[in-house]
Amino acid sequence: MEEKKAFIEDLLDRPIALLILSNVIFFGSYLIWGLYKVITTPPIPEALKGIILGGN
Amino acid sequence: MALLVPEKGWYSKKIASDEKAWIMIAGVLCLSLFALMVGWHLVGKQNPSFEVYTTSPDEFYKLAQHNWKKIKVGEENGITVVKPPPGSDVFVIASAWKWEPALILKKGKEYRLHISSMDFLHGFSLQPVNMNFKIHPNYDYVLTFKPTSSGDFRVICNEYCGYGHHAMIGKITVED
Repeated sequence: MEEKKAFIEDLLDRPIALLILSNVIFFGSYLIWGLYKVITTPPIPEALKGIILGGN
Repeated sequence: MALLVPEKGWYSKKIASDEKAWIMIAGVLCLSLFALMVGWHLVGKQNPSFEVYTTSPDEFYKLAQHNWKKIKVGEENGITVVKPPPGSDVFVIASAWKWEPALILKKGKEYRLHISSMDFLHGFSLQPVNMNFKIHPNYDYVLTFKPTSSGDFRVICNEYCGYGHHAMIGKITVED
């Protein structure tokens, strides 16, 4: 019976899995970061609009 | 991928000290370059702004018109020319295919440039200093801008935006 490999050894022996994993981590991180930025971007502050539009 | 399959039991084999040292050097170098990439956003002098607001083309156009009315000094080829007071907010519009207004700024003084697009993606590219920023519609992109040399500068569009793209040239004049 073959000896059971350690998880990290098994992973390092799979180049295609490493290739996919290294792309998926960045893809997932940037996607979440981008969505977070889009959702949390605030509108132009009312105070600034008041300064620009005021007095006309 | 290695040419040869590693021999069985490679994982539990002791690594030679010189190989270990090179792995450490490469690891430290990789992490340093990664840290530099993030750190440059804090210490670099020509970085994108962290200040962005949502807006709409209608709202931004209205704000720009009010802003220009107060600081307009003339017109050049149908383009409004403005001379904002140092430290003030100045609105810049990108649309197919022009940058408006033309700016007259003072050397060494700081300005807050609000830039947005009226239609689709444009690229604010200040030449010849080569500072580049993407300008999206529906976002007010605030650039804190401090000219360090006087003269005439051009703003070109560096995101292809249709058949007038090459003619989309704006002007910034920096006075002493």
